[in-house]
Amino acid sequence: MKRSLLSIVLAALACAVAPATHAAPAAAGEAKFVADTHPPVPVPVPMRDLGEAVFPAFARWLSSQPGSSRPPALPWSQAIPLSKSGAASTPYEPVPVILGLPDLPLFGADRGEASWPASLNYQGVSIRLVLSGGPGAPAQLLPMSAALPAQARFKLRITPTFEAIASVAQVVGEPWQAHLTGQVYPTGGVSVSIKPGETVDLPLGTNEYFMLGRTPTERMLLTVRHPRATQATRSDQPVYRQDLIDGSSYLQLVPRGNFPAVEPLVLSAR
Amino acid sequence: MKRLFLRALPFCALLVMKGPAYSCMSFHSPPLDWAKDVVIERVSRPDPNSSAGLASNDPLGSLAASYSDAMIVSVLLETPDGTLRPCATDRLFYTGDRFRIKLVASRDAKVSFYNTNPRGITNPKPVWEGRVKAGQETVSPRMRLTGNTGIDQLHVVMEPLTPGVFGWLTQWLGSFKDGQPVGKDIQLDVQNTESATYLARIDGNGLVATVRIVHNAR
Repeated sequence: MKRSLLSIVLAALACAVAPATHAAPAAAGEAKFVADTHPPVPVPVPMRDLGEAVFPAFARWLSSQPGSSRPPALPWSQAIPLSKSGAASTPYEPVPVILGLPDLPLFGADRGEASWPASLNYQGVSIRLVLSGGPGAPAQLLPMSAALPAQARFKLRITPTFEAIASVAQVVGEPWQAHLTGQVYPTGGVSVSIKPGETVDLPLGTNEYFMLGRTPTERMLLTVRHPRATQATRSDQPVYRQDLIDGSSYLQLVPRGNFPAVEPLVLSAR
Repeated sequence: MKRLFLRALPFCALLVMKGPAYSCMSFHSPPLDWAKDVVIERVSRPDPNSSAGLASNDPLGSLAASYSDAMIVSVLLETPDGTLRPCATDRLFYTGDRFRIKLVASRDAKVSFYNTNPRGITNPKPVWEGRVKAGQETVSPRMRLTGNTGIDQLHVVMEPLTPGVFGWLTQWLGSFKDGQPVGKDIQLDVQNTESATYLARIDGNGLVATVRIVHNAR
């Protein structure tokens, strides 16, 4: 028994004792040089760490874009009508937006770099609700998860990583039975063009604002898509959303040959 | 003394073999979430023979390449504004829940959903069929299962390469009891997190994850 215990103790000691490297003894007055004949084994970074870095990489890119968090000019005096009453409507089902982290990693980004080339497998857009605080009060920057109070005046601040066109449509009806009534801004069948990294507030006019109707079933659908993202070529991958204190980040996997398209809903508080 | 020396000899050999840089105290092995890490590696590099995945200092990539099939499955609970909250398949869902299924697979594959009703009868006609592409995500249409009593099961199937999926599925389901494999016919690694279920197998192709829906008021 004692001998067995001694064996166990000796085995434990063999594991614990270990000099890190071999060092050749130096002659007197000579600089010591320690050759590292056993370089450490590189620790592989699990792929999941790269996947979780998608949103932080986007946040790093966004913080380097001028104007994305500048205070908006006030006051706003002109409401953009969002109602298309009487217009023909089509059944509407929201495009899936996942409140979670993507499974697949970000490829092609240099860690620490703030650029977002078109070759990356994810493309994204930052969207902030810019909410008027009332006469004399500063405007607030809010995430898209913030339900708007009734009759609130707001703008939408958009910063895409890609060349984009943006427009606003109206959605009405009860949940699960919604209908799209059509584009309400801009009018005339055009869209607002946004360059990669540019920040644009919609409506474009300095003193213009949006305001949802009194009915809680009335929503606003914002579309931010690449000009070449048609029904056939738009990415069919789900969009991931992360809400921060002052805005929301949307990221979408974009397979080669497809183009990004993000369509969040703006809701009022119920 | 001689006996003490003989007993100490193997441990001295251990010291010599392990060498200075590989002793227990200095060797760093990062903690792995096992199936999740392997599955993500496998689905992110769908071609296991690509040189990018088999670098000599990439033991995770080499390990993942040894798995024949891998899949990530999430149940996305849907709210009226279109937002979806991801959950693993081992969570209980309730009658009337609206949800979608999200899949990521290690190869291009046909996927299908089969239903086993509360009486234990599996319908040979799939509830839904679709395709997944390696390296991309697939989200099913919105679904809603309703009933009065008992538990419905929805089997999310990454179909094997051989034909006859329903027969294969029946055999697979028979190899499990209470969610645990019976016998050694299927070598499956599974890990559930809050938001997804990660599955991988080393011994063949085709995978199944089962979602349970409870039919009574919460």
